[in-house]
Amino acid sequence: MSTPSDRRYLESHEWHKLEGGIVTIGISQHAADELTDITYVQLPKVGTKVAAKGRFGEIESVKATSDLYSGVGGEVVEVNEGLNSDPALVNRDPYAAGWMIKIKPTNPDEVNALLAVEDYLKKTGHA
Amino acid sequence: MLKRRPFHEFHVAANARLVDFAGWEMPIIYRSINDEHEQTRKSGSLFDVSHMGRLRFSGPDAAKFLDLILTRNIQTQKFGQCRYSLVCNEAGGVIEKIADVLPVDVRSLKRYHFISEELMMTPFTVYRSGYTGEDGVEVVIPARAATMAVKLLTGSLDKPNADIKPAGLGARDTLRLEAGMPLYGHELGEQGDPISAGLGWAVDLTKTFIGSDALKAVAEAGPKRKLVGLELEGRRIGRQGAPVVDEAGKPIGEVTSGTFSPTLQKSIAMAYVDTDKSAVGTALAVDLKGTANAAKVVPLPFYKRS
Repeated sequence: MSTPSDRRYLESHEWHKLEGGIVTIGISQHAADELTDITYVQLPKVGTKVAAKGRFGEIESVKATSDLYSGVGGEVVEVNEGLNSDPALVNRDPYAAGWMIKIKPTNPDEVNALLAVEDYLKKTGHA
Repeated sequence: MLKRRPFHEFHVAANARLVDFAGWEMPIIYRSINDEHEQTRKSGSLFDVSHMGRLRFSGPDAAKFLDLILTRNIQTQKFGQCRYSLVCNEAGGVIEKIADVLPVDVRSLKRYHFISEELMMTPFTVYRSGYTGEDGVEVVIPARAATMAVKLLTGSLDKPNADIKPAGLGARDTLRLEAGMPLYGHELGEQGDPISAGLGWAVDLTKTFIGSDALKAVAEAGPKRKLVGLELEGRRIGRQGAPVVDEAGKPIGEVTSGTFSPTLQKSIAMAYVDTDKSAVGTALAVDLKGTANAAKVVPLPFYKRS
């Protein structure tokens, strides 16, 4: 699957998509593949304040546990409840159904300061 | 440069993700760990274990020598039988887990037995054993015959409904963990001893071998810690090194392996805990980076072949 160019990335593999003043965050297919079968996604509660480059949760797979980061600061307005019962959604559809949280950013411009897809791929050795 | 096994081309063709495993380039995953795990439980899988060493001992004192280094009594072992055994240091710590074998030529192969034969001038040995909790055979063939042997099998391996598909190290680990089988570097090591690991059945304390004095002392005093199975509440995984605490929050042990069991759909772990907290049903918790996750002691193995 190709990595979508309609969003911005962190080197730690989270994608950020700005739509209507809200940023949706998930992880890339490369990250999902690297983790292998995902068994648990720990997400924050709605209303939680997240700092830019701050940790918002944790993801576990059969193989490893890793932290999840947000590239933008703001308030969590929605979380993907579907991941509680089916965390493998992140493996199957990381760019759509496997999204994790939606944030109302304090400063929406922060999104554009994140990595464009080609820079993300270059930095993570997938270019 | 990583060492490659004779099956390297097969792994690449089967879309394996290869990783460094103790200096060997090994397949960790082909499709998905859960998929390979389920294939093994429900039908069958092919594992490449050619990184494992094979040693042959011969000569008039071979049996005497093996008796000195192995925890089990080789003199009582029948020809054609294979058994898991351990090699300990003087302190009773485990240096190596091995399968020891004595050859014989038989047609009907029972579990933990083996045969050696020749096919088209190629010698091979088949052991009825394995480390997944399922029935299995382990086949030893010369490296030069590996490509041919795997070609004979791969004719059907890549079909979607194949009875047997390749499985990698990832599934091998979740399978052996469900089956409660100890792994070197996790449940076994030079710091531990086989009595505490629940492997007393593989230790013959009536004979003298390297480490036997230390192990007799452990057996007489009773082990301070025991290897137990833990079932964790929720979906989070207790991984190697995670502290195990009692209901008062006092550290009483440590996780050695943990995963989210694909068969049971539960978070499971093996851990060494203080003997007085090791009874089945004991309520404990696993410290997951500062959060106490409730757990209870359950019998090993977690999964038994029906």
